[in-house]
Amino acid sequence: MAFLDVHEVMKDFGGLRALDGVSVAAEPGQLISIIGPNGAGKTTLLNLICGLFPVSRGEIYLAGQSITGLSSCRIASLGVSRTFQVARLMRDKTLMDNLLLGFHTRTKSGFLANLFSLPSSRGEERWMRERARELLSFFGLLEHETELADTLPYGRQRLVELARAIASEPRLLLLDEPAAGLNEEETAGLARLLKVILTQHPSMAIILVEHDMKLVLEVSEKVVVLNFGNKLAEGPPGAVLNDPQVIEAYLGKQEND
Amino acid sequence: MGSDIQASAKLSKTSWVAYAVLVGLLTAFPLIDRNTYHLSVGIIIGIYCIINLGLNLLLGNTGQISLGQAAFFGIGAYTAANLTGRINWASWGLEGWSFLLGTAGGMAMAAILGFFLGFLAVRLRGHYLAMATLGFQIIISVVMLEWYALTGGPGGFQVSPVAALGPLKFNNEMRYFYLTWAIVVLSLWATRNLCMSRIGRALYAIKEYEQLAEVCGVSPTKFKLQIFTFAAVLASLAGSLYAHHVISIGPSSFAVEISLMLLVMVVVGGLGTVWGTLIGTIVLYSLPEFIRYMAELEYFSPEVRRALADNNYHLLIFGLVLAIFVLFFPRGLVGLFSGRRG
Amino acid sequence: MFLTLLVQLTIGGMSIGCIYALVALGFHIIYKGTGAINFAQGEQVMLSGFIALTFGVILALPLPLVFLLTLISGIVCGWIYERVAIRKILNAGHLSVILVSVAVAIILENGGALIWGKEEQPFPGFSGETALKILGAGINPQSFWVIGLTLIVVVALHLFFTRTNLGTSIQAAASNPTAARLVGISPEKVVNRCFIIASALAACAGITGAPITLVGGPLGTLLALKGFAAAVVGGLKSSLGVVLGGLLLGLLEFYVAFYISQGYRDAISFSVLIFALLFRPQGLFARGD
Repeated sequence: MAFLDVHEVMKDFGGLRALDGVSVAAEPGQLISIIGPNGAGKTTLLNLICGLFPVSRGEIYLAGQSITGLSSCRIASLGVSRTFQVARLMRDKTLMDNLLLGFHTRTKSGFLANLFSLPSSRGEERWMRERARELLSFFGLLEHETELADTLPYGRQRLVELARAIASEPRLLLLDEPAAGLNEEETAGLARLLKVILTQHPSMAIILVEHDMKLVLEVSEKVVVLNFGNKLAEGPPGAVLNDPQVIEAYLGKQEND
Repeated sequence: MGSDIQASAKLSKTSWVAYAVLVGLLTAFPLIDRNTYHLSVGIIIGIYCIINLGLNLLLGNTGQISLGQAAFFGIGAYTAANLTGRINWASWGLEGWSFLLGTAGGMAMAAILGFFLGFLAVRLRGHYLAMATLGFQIIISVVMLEWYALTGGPGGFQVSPVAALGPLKFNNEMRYFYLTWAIVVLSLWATRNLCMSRIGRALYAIKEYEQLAEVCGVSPTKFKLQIFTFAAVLASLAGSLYAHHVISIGPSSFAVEISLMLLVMVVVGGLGTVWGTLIGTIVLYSLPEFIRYMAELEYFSPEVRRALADNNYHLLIFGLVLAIFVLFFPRGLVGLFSGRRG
Repeated sequence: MFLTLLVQLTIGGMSIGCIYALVALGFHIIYKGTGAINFAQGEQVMLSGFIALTFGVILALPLPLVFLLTLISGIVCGWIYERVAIRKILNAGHLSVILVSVAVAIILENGGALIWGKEEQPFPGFSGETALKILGAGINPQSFWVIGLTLIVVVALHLFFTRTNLGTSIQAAASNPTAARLVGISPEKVVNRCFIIASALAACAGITGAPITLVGGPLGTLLALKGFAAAVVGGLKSSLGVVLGGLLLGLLEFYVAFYISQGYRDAISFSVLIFALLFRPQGLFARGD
């Protein structure tokens, strides 16, 4: 069984079938991109994997353990992190506070320990902040650590979200259109960043949902194409992106739009 | 709550100054003003502060509406009063510790019911949760009125004045003032710790970004249960303090009107801020006291004085203050001073 | 004998249930139009009772005139309430609206007590005080006025929401505010009209229920809570549901008070509420929210 094994998942929303028996597999150290025209079910797939919605049918396994039907909070504690299509940060909180939220699963000091500021909780807090500063520095955000999240330009907000997602040292990282709203230079930077992250975390698998084909080509080991909730194609990026069926799916969508 | 990074780095400066000023004022007050009525008012204010620190955590930090904190206040009061008054502690040689043990018993009782309320909060949101907590408040109020054997019914319950910690007896206003406010400062310190910790961040995420919280591994269920239990425990601690101070307790001190008054204090003070809660409680409790004081002054005519002494008049002002603050000063009193992004 | 009891409890329960239903309808309409809860609804009923008292007892005007004047006063107060307090706060989130309406409730309750007195005061029944004998039970004739009025109100509201322009536009704005705005329905106007209708309902409940519930006293807050409880149990989004919820609550109260305990009556009502919320939070009669 693969490290991440999404097996024949189906998702119905009332009368609408968003996903119709899709299977995806990923191994540690792999970056797999999911592409497809709008409405193909890409974000739905991510939502299913991280547990925000339950599957209608099918199973999902992570490292051999079934995560089908588990709550998103449980799945997160098993080592799954994600970013959102629109950067979801806590607006009224600083960069640092937002980032610290990402460390939640790596810390465990409880209610009472924190209530009375016991040494265990203080030690954890110190450790968290040091690690957080390291991360901020890696992302080039250290000088902005005390700024409020909603005062940041959008590109930086995306970076903070990414930093928060990897703060928990996830085994599986789900990225939902991380390049959306970024210009060419920023996207290239993102590509470099993703490659470095993969090198630094060889046991992490990354699933990337994207529309930006340059990014997809640059970083993916494998590409999966979804169309109308079905898997249309799968394979190395070069092959898939030149597949006539895939091109037609995109063109067809463009004609209808 | 403010920025954690600033808080943790400058905790030394602003916070220490505030704490020092507070402790200084508190220590000095009973030494300067020996008037037992004034001290008693100060004690009651402190007691409400304890409840409100919990309510502020619930409402301001975690976004959970509870209109039932007065019920826990009452549960703590009656449970502790029964335990201290009805058990023969002397036969175990524990007379000096009945207050502590009785209070602990009240807190345990409240914890169980607080957990239940937390369970409701997991399943319900917004107005439905408000309604459920209100229902809880009414149910407890009815029980306090009807369960004569435990509570003495509408006639009230006479509490044995046994507040003591071993040989140290708190048998005058001054000592009780110090006891109460020592607990207030301790609760203040503890809730601030909580707010600035990973728990506090989790609570804040649950308040407005619940889905994000879940995806980061924060369990709304676990934290809602914890915070409701904690707020109930604080309220019940305050209840026991109250019971052993006023000696005679009745259901009207723990009714829905009180729950609403607590809400006003926390909101007007500044939701989500610990100092705001203190300020709001002090100011809003002092307001009717001040008006009552004016009613004593010969300066006003008898009709005006009668009006000023009227309880309905005080509550009317409460309502007006709440309305004005919600409409015009949503950040509360604390927001007025910090002048931050209104 | 048993039949007498049945009649007594049922009619009594239904008449107070109708008052709860009217309050619940007020909650329903404001919730429908704005998504917010107006905690002052019960106090508005009390205020209308006081106003009716002024016109009907103190000024001793004839009943139809009292009814009309109370209704108009209620509507004017509702308009002022919405304009001054609600309009500003609607965008600030549900908590703020709840808090403002709690504030208004406190103001009305205490203002009322200051102006009209703290004690409960009686109000004359519309058709006299002599009890009607039905199957051996002594029934307060006002019960029929209340039940009759509620029936008329329910029918009138139904017609209003389905047949009139304003009514249908409120329905439209409630289910899809953006679309409504596009076709020229102003959400501000919708909110305002919803508050006016709810205030009119409060006025009806206030004056018609006054002989039964008495005017003033501690009933205001409790009425709001029970009306809201009835609305929530019945299903806030369903007008029929809230009415049924009110009737159910009224009947429950009377039967429980008689068979189980008068003192614990409210505790039992609210326990039922909590159970209902736990197991079917969208309401017993809601159409699968």
